[in-house]
Amino acid sequence: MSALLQIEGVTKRFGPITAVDQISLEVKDAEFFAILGPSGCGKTTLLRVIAGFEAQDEGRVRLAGADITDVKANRRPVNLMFQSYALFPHMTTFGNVAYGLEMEGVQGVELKKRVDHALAMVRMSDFAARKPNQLSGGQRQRVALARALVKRPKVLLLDEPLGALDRKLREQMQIELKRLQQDTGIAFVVVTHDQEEALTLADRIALLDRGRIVQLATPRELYDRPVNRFAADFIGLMNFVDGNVAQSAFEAPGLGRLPAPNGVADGPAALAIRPERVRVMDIAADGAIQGQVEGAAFLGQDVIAHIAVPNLPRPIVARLAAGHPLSAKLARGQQVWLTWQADQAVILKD
Amino acid sequence: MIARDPIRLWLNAHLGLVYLFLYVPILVLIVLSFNKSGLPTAWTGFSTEWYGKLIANPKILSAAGNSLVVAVASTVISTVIGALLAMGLEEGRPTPWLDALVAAPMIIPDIVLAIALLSFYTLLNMSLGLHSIVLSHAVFNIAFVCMVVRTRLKNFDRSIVEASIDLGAGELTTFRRVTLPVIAPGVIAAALLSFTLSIDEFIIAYFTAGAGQGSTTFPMQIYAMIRFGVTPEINAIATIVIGFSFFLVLLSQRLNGEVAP
Amino acid sequence: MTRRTILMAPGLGYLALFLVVPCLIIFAYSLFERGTYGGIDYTLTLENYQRSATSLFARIFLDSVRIAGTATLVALLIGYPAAYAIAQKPRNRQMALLVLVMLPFWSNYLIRTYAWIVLLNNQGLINRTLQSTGVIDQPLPLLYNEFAIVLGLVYNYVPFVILALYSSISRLGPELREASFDLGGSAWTTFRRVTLPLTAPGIAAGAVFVFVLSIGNFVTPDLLGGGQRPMLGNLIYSQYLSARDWPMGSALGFILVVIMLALLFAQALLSARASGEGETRLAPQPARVAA
Repeated sequence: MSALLQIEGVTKRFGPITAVDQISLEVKDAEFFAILGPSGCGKTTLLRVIAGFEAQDEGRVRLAGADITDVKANRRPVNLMFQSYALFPHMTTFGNVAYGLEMEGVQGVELKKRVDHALAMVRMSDFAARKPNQLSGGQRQRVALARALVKRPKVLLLDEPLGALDRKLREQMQIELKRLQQDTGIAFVVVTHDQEEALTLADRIALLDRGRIVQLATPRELYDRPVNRFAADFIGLMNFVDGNVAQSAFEAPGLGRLPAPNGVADGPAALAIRPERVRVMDIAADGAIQGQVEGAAFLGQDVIAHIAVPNLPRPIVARLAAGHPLSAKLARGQQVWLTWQADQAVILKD
Repeated sequence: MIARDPIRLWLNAHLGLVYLFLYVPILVLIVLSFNKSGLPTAWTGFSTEWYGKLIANPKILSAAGNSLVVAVASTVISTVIGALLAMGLEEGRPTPWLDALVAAPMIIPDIVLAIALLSFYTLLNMSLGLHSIVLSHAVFNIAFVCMVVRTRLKNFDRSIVEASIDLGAGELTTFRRVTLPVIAPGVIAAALLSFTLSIDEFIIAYFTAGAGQGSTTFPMQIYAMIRFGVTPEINAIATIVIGFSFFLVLLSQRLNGEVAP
Repeated sequence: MTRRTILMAPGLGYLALFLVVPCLIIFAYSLFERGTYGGIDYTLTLENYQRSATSLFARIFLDSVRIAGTATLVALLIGYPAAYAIAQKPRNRQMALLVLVMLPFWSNYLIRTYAWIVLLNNQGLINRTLQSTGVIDQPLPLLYNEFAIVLGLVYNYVPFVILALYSSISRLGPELREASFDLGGSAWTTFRRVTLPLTAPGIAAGAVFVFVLSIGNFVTPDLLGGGQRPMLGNLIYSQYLSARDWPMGSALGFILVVIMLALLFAQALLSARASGEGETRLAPQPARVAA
């Protein structure tokens, strides 16, 4: 698949602050792309550069091969769904959705047909005559989506699309967003600070920190192979053990050699292991580290256990899947042994 | 509830007395305006005679006409200028010095503004009359219009302007189809406020009107009549003025209450 | 020129020409001598400011401060419990009660003042009623004195005081008071240690408003005081229109502005400290509405 949207070396400064620092990335046709990062990482600024609301200081933006860097926001074949939805309060649902088409000169029967179609797509046909203040949060979001999609943009930008919704509604809308994206075949670029949302929705994720791309990868790669401590920490839960790599073996002070992948250069490093990859046993085993259960919490299916290990500043978190022989028996103060498969740990150099 | 009912009772009684304090003087005027004898001593029967006399008084009519002219003219000037100013101030970074300058006409004592403007006009050798009152009233009206419209703009989600541009509209279309309709109730309320302030204003008009009945405004006429003494005609004027201003206030309350977003 | 400059240009230009320039003119006038026939003699002098400290002016100045101060105090004493009572009402009724408070405030100031002449004068409603019921023989001297001026000022400005205090009190919410009760505070202790300190900014805003408008007032001392107790506003008026001593009038006007700015600044500091955000903003106050 070809690159639809190309960001080339874009930099945006606000006074002394560099909000976006030399970012380059490509979004493919019909791709669901997520820009993920903590607040203040520059993700919204990047989105606004793509939409045309901020002029970048350096770099180019290309869309389907054409340079749109100097094209004004109202002439870009790109639409934005605002975080606040930004529905026009004085217009009905129909009026809101029709607005963008009217700007293209669409009128009469054609206008009505296309607006009706867009409303049907987001299941809001019955609310065409309502004003935004007569709609619920979820309904407003559907209208905002329809308003942006009805213009058939080449790329749809979504700024924290699910941020304003409560948890239940958010899960439902995640599925709908995915369905709409697949039905329309439009490339979606969503900006979010919610890693779970990015992991569920996106085909690829660009993880940003302080204006730079930390890692650009598929959700699975990002989860399994984070490139540094920031990426490992930002996505999901992660245990870190500080130590040293010597002769391609990882050693932690006071714990000795720990299972870790080979092929890492010598020097100080951290071992990262996901809670669900930690094996918990009630008998000693070769190479396992000993600890004491500090507390365990039942999560509905799985059990999360905090295990204090001597010489480690923080307890190791382990997630015991349903059916694990120990999951019902873990008691505070109990001695356990921990281990993991070497290839499931990641060694991070920074 | 905690046992503080005696306090609550006392508070409510106090509040009732405050309302009496506020409304009794006004109600007395209204009742007296329909009293045949016109005197506060005794009720001698219902009559609209004083209103009849009012309508027949050419001085009062011309003063009312003058006030209407002044209020409409200064409202038009200040609504346009003040609304633009509000839009400018709400755009971009906050500018405390400009905010202070724009708020100044609202807090500067009337008498100071009055002598300052009189001195200014005199220095320019400008003729005084209705036009100089209009110019003077616009000074404080701009400030009030600006304040009301800014409040409206602050509650206004800026992203709808960007949404309009994102959907392909130009700047003018966006202003006409999005910004203006959304801030319109605020602008109308501001215009009503400005009209009320101008039609009620006395001391600045008094200083900047120059001599002669030709530029006497309604409050100036009322002042002259009060100085002359208590007459039943003033009661009738008062009733009309109170009724009119209550109507304007309630109207602008309604307009501002209709918050769209 | 940016879009912002274009939008603001007419308004700022207007205020520069019709507010800043005139104010600078009277400041300049205050530093000149009075001409023989009432004009300006362009000789620099500080005499006007020196004269403002002489006994005649100083007396009027002190009278003004006393009258404005009394009116402020009375307005607060009446306004605070009223605002408190409104804030205790159900939410949906508070707005209506406030509109009812503000309604008289929006009718003509002269008319509102005139109403008290009708009530207070020797043949007025109060005296006639008291006389006809035999409570008094001679009419009470209710009008044309300091009492009438204070009453008129309080009547005209108490609505705004209630409004300012209400916004301060209603922001407080019941939780803090309930917490104080819960910790064993009595109603009085709770008021003194919790409610009162937290509503101090509202009290200051209301007080500054009444004081500033009262001290510069012209109509109330003129109509209800009958010229018996001229205040700063009347003094400026007579210097300009009767004595035709514009430099003196300008100097007094300038002093009035300085007093006003000092009070507003003090209030802004207080509310900035109270809000803890260091936000020193001069609260725009609808003074014009009142006078």
